[in-house]
Amino acid sequence: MKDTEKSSGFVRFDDHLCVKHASCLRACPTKAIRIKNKQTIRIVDQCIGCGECIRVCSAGAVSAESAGPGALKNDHVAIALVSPVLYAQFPGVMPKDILMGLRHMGFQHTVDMSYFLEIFQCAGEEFIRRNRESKKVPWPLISPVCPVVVRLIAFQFPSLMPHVIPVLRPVALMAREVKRHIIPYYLETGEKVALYYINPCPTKKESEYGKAENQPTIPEIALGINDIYPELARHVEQIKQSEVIPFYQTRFEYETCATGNASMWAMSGGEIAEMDIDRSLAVSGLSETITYLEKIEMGLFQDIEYIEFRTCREGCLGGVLTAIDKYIAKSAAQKMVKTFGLGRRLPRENILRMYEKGKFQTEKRPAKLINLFGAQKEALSIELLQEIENTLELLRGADCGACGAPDCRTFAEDVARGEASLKDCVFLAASRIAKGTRKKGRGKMTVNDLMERFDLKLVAGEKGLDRQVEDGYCGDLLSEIMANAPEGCVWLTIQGHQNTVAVAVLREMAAIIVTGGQSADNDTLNKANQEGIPILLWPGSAYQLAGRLFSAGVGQSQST
Amino acid sequence: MTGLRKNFHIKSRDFIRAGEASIQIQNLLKSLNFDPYLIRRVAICGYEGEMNVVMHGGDGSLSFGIDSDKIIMELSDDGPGIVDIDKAMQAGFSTASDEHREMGFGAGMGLPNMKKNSDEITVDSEKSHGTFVRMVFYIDKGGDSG
Repeated sequence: MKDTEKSSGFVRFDDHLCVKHASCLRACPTKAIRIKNKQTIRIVDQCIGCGECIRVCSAGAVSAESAGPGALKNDHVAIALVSPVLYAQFPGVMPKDILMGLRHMGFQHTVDMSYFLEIFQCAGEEFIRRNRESKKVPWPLISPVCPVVVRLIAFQFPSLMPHVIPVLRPVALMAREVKRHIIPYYLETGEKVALYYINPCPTKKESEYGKAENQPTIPEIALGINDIYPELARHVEQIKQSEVIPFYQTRFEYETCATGNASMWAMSGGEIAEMDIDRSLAVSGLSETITYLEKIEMGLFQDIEYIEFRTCREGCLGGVLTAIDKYIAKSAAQKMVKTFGLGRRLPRENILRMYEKGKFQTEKRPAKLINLFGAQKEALSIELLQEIENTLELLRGADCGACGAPDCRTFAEDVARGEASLKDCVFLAASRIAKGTRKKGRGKMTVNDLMERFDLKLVAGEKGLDRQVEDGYCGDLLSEIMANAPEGCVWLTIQGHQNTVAVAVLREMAAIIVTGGQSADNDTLNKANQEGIPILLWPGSAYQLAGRLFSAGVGQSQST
Repeated sequence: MTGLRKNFHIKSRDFIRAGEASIQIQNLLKSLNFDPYLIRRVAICGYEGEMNVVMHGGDGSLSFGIDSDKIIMELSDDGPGIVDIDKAMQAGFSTASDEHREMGFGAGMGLPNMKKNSDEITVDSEKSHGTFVRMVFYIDKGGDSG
């Protein structure tokens, strides 16, 4: 990784290439991206690996965490774990020829994931069937196949975690099989082995979910389909042209793919097409998925048994690391299905026997996943939430993104959490400048003038000392101040807690003067420094100071 | 400090936007890290309430408040009112029109569902004088998710 790059584990951002047009800010479903100090992209720990930022970045500053082209080395036995999306990338070419192309490229083994998708399908179906009787889990059940959906649920819809069926995902089944049956052979002979996942999206490899038991660690490498496509296309072309097709011996059924309908899995609806469930839905696209999840959380769709969610439009062949356009790929996949028809390869009885033995059950992953994501964002207090609502009323609500946050609400939340300053809002700044020019030159006093004249002690917010003092106000009830304090006033109060700064910012005050010998706590001072609101101390009573300020001319022009 | 209050306007027969208020409330509660199941109960009640107003109630409003120990949700509308509240609280009783049923509503589960998912519910209605529903949800401070 270059030093201008930052990674979320799923995607990489290159500061150097970034042109700050901020389209990724708005595309991010978990609002994980900010632009700070006009140059730095900051990734908060909320990336779920959906890849939307890669899709929308026209500058090419965002890329997937994959090993990239040329990652395949000759010094070890390379095993390719192949997503069926790859089959839809070569219209008119049979899956087995594409796998052959991979072998030409240098992979010793090719593992067809659609085989494991079928096992998953059968096991999932059984779970749904049993749930009809046991009614253990509320309808609708949700497919765990798309890992982004599972992370999205864990992060933003934790109450829906029980809806996700606890059947091992196809990738997990595939990795388990390979680690049990292919890898040990090489470990015995002392050869080095590496697993290459050929993915349509920047999702992490299965190791994210913990390793299979008692397995030695072997390198697991993620490759995007687009990483290998140019080279693979050359080999596939050669295979198509050659008259004598070389024969490769395969030990396992899943090392090749004899049917054409495997590519169906790449399409939205491919998972449920063959399932024996009447009331099922296939939903694709990120915003559609979120809308559905919101509705399920409100108790809708209880008449549906199973929903296949894919956050990419049209399903996995809309993945961000695919090589050809999703509609062309879809047409290729549909033609394959038409030629070969639907139908299963594997005997159901065997799978059901394994199901009975609990071979497909996940561990207690939901809770683990919720902890992984849910705990990362610190909870707001009701007071902070109120502050956010107040700030929002002040903001224009244009969601322009100029502040570096994706929308006004997120910005207000960042301000409340102390991670951003109201000064970053261009609309607020513009109105402040406009007011400033109007009022300048009237010979008013600044906060600095007051400080020197009345011997006030400055404890925070030095940056704001040149603010103009327009008026004065006394009071200790925040809600009353919020309602009535005039703009540009100095506010005399005995309150020293954090919320005073927020009130001062919202009412655009010149300064806060804490009277009666009271002081402000540290959080307040930090916040005041951040917002540039001066806090001054006055040992005497508010009454005394107010009288003096008024005599000095503060607020006289406003009084009637 | 006093708790948070928020008001939403609900437009009669606006089936497309119905549910918006509940989604916003859901997101507010999520940012407070409240228990997911409490959030879900509130969201279900909010949605059922919104749908009731949209279907039967004429224009109305949803007001929402969080205090330190409880969440309060109030729905009021200027619709035709409920003739027999006891009956309306029974599962399966419905006065929905064919149009509503075509859209998948009108199973007679609205108020019963709200009753089931809230800790307290009061329904106040009079024929041709609109309906007022108030629901209370207690925030369990015992757990780590309060």
